[in-house]
Amino acid sequence: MEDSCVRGQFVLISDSLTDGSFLIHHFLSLYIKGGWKVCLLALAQSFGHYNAVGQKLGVPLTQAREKGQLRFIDGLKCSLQMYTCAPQEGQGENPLRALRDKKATLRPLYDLVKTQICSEEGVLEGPTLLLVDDLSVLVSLGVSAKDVSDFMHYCRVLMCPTQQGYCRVLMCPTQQSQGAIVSLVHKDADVEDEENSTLFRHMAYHGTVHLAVEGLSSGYSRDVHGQSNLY
Amino acid sequence: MLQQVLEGTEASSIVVIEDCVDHDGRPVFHCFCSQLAKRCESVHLFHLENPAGVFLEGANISKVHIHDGFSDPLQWEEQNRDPSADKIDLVSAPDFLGHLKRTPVKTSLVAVVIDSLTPFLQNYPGYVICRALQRLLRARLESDGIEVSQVVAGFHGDLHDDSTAAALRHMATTWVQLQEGAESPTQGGTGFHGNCEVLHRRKSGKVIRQAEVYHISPQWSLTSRVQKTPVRPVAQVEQEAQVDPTANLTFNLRLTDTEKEARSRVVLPYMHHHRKKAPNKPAANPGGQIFYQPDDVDDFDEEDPDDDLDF
Repeated sequence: MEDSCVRGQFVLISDSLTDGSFLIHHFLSLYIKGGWKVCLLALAQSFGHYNAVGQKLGVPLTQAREKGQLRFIDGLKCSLQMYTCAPQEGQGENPLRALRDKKATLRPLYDLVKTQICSEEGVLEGPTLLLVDDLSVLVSLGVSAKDVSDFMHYCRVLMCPTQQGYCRVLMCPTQQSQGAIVSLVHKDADVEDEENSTLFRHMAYHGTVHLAVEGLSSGYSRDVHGQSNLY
Repeated sequence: MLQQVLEGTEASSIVVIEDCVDHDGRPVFHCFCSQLAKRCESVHLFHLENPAGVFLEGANISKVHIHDGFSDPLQWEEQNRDPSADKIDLVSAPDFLGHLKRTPVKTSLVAVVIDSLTPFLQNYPGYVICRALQRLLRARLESDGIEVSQVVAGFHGDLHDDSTAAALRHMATTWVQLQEGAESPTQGGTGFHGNCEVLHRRKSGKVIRQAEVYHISPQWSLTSRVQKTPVRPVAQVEQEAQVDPTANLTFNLRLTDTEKEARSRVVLPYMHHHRKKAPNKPAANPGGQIFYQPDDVDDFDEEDPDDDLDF
């Protein structure tokens, strides 16, 4: 995959029997360095983790956050609050209230993402990347694959409404889409998780590019950590 | 058959294109949009999964009426909603015919293209969708002001259970299951080719099922032909040379027929068999007997120090 920021793309990263989160850090540093506005929806790690890795990659995320280039949504903290706080202590405003209320959807989370990256008119202000790490956490916490798919559909409409990507002729970057999405879904071959498999298939239909990361078929190696396939 | 259905030489009221994650059905869908725009007076495109522009390249856009179910299917964007726009939403039950009736231009030869049925099936039971599709096909010019000649719908086979697929397959007059596919880079652009299985039901009742190979040009024209099954060579039975271990020996290892019969009649010790017990030995357990069947790993001790084992 070319090492450049491409608009109108929905990049789906899947990993099997290995950790594909290194690509999240790669895209985060790539798009920050490229001058894009980045919205990081973090469900798996805290800000400190991304900042520590970012500093090693030469991208100080704390400064980017202070400048407003990086918008960080602490999904990890929100999910913890849903389980530790009492209902009357502000769960009504939590964007992840779908974790406790089975009738709720991820619409509050979408509204939060939209307010973080859009202007008051509801449009993107320049090239913007939505980075989601990772979607399998939502399924693990009890959100249905359909609700996650609906949430990502709306994100896709917001970020890349005129995406074109099933034909190489049409894969040139379009000026109309200002945004791009990168999201991670776990797809471990040794785990039988029907809901997560359904989520992966939903995301595969949404995505324009699929980066599949997996371990080596020959086993663990010290120097080579794995292989990736691009679809 | 696929090409005939696409061109209209083979009549088919409902065509369902089943794809999966590994075999994308959008190129075939695009061909249907393009071809229907040529031979029908009006094409109604219900798009929910992809922007409308994805399927309109090379098509006569003036004949295409777009029903938008992509931008706001769940009505999450209330503040931006235009009440005059005819949008598809998944909050209420699907009513394809109602949307057709609301279009200002009413023609007789109308084709409906749905991308895809999956969002509807995610929110409503299969029979609701089947009923909505049936209402489309039963529409008449005299009563409804519109008549539908063909419905083409996409269906993701790996996102639904078998019962939903079976219900739709029962209703469809042509079912195209995509099995393999890839891009075909050519000088004029990029085309596609692939394999599919076509199940077609004619009005006469004849059912045709055949495997086909299709090719899509960069101008979105599709050609297909029946896939020829490869002729497999007859498996040669190899006559292995049977080595007779009893041949070429200085002693005789062979048995005559009488010796073989005597060998089969030999009573093996310690094996269960029917025999008379000695009259001076009472049965150890008059209610039942224990029959010992040793396994290969049993370390059977032939000694009987207590002399209480009755074999």
